[in-house]
Amino acid sequence: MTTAFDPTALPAPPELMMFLLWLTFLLHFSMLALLFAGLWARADAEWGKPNRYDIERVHRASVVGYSMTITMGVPPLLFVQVLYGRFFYSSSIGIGYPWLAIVGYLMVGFYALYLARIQWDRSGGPSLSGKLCWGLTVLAVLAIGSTYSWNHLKSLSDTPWLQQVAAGEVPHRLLGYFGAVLMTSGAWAMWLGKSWRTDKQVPRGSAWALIGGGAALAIWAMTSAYASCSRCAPAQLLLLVGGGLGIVAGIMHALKVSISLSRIAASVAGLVGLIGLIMQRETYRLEILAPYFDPLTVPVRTQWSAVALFAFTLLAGIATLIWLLTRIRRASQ
Amino acid sequence: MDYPIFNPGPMGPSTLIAMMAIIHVVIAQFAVGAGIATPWLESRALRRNDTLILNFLRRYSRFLILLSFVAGAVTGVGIWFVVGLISPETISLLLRQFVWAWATEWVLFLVEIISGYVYYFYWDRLDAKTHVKVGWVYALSAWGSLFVINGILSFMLTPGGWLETGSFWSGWLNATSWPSLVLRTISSLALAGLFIAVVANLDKKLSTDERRHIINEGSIFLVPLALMIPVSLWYFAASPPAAGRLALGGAIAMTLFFGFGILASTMIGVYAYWGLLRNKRSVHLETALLLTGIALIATASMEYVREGIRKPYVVYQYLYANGLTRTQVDTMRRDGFFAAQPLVMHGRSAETLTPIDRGRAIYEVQCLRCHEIDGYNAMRPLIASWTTEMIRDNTRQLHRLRGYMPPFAGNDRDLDDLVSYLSTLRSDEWRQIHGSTGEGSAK
Repeated sequence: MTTAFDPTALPAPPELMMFLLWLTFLLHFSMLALLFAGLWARADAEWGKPNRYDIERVHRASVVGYSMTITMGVPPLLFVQVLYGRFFYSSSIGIGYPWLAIVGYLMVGFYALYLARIQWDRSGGPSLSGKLCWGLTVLAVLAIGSTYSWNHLKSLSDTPWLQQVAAGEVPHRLLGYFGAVLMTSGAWAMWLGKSWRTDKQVPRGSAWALIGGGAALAIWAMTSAYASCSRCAPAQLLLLVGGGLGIVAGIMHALKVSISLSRIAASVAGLVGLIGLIMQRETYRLEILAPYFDPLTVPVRTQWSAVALFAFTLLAGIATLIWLLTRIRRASQ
Repeated sequence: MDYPIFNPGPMGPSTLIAMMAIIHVVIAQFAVGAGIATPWLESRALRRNDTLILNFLRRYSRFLILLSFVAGAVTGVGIWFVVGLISPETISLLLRQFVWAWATEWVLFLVEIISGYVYYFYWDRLDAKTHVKVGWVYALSAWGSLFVINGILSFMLTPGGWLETGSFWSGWLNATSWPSLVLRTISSLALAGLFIAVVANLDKKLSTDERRHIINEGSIFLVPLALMIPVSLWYFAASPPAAGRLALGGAIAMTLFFGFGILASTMIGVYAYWGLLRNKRSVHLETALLLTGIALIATASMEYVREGIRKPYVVYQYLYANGLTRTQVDTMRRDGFFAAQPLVMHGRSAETLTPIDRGRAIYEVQCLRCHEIDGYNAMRPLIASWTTEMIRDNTRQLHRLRGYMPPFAGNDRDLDDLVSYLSTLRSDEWRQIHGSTGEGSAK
């Protein structure tokens, strides 16, 4: 029996898949930023003045941020595999067990975070074991970021990993991601921070996250190899604007300018920075792979009825989430 | 074929996939079952003003969140990772054909996660009626998630009309998807019931009577296990006949696993009905853990059978377990293995290699996914006493000798190359006895 169709055809126009890849990547990084905010607020509570934080709320933001980062990380992984399967699988196989280790890092990171909360409750405040658990989560997040970078770079280049590390490519690449996410974490802390602190103040850390993250993003935009990529100019511009705006928002907060205004500036900075980063990543990938493969020109056999199923579920899901939010809001009042 | 080869070492690829898959199946099915059990028990407790059950459910939902929201999600992605390393052709096919089903499942999972967090974190702040509703939102989205994934998994055994049309719907809503869905729902409810017994026993503040009451309430979810035999019969009636034969005597290991899975499940179901539900008995922590352990092994056994009965395919009648499609095998038998330019050659010409090296390349593509040299399902002991002629004959007739093996994909020269390579795996002692070619008689 032979098939009368091409099973390797894309099940929807590649432009739609690419849009969903970008959109879901944005959501993934936004949630990662929430986790970052929870992590640095927890660090502030561990090493700063005791009893200034309602650690239960910080912990809730971190836990939700962690699990939502994972949940939001699933669809970009799905669309990357559909669009760039051959490169993605080959680079994953090239890495082997260290790639699989991500599963372990994710679990260790989450459960260490949970233990950190238990340690706080047990000792009624900061403790060495709480700090160690916090450190373990940070290490896990770093290991995940590095391994993803490893895979991504491997799918674009033959250069051995250690050589890339030695040449500073990997930490350099992480600088961009770290900057954008740190900056966005500042925005999150501006929105949620008042409820984290017992004195109802937005944590000072959000100013430093915005300034440090914005600066890192701007440095990355100016120094990365992507700067030489012919299609990447709009993305580079977004990175610079986002980074600059982040620094401005951070300074506004440090100078105690209106919190509403600083918050809007920080949110726009985070959004622009993340969009720039995602746009840069994809346009660079398309440029590098262009001589071998262009995902926008592969055969397409659109499954319209399946797209409709997804669209219907998505709308129903959004309606349900809105209903849940109204219940939460009512309960909070 | 079009990818590099990942060799996971002595444990073998199947063990690696099984480890990840079984952990995920147990956690994910528990999440579904507990999702249904929790609001159901909560409604019942509210009607009866049963504060003991309400307080217990709060602790139980924390256990659910901690176990399933991260470990469940991560091991699910972990399966993509493992299969992507070991059988990229399979995962690539499943993702491309069902990308919208995966995306739909993700929406449901997102609703599941968020409603789960609201259910747990807003326990005291939502009014009771709304809280139960949120619980049902969680239950529905979790079961919906199972519904979607179950269709993709059962497609691998019964792709049905998809083989001719490529239709998403005929692939997804296939012949075994319905009985499989019922089996998985029963299994999910059972796991929820068993974990109620475990969590109740772990709470040292509860008295023996309180514990018994909670366990009795939860035992209702174990009773459907008694239906495992008829539903399994339905599943096999919908399966390809050859697949059913493998489980029902054709392959002894599979038959034993199937028998264990089905009997253990049925017995737990019957015990739950007579012991826990009717006679209101209780179980201690040790017994609860033992029952849970048996249920986990039964689940693992049934997963092993589900994977095994597809052999020699991973997608029935389309994709073989070694990642080659039927069309590719036909072409290779006609034009030779190397005409397809497999990636393991790294652009080298087959003519530049020795027969043994060519044979090794064939082995890596066609055999390594199921047969390590030494270790899992090892090749060396398998052929330890075979003559060269036996290796040749068995390999040529592989699919006829053993119905669960894919056919050899190559021409006569490829077969000679593979035989040359396999012959090198036999021990020096063997060669001393049989001669270097393996054609000599034993001294």
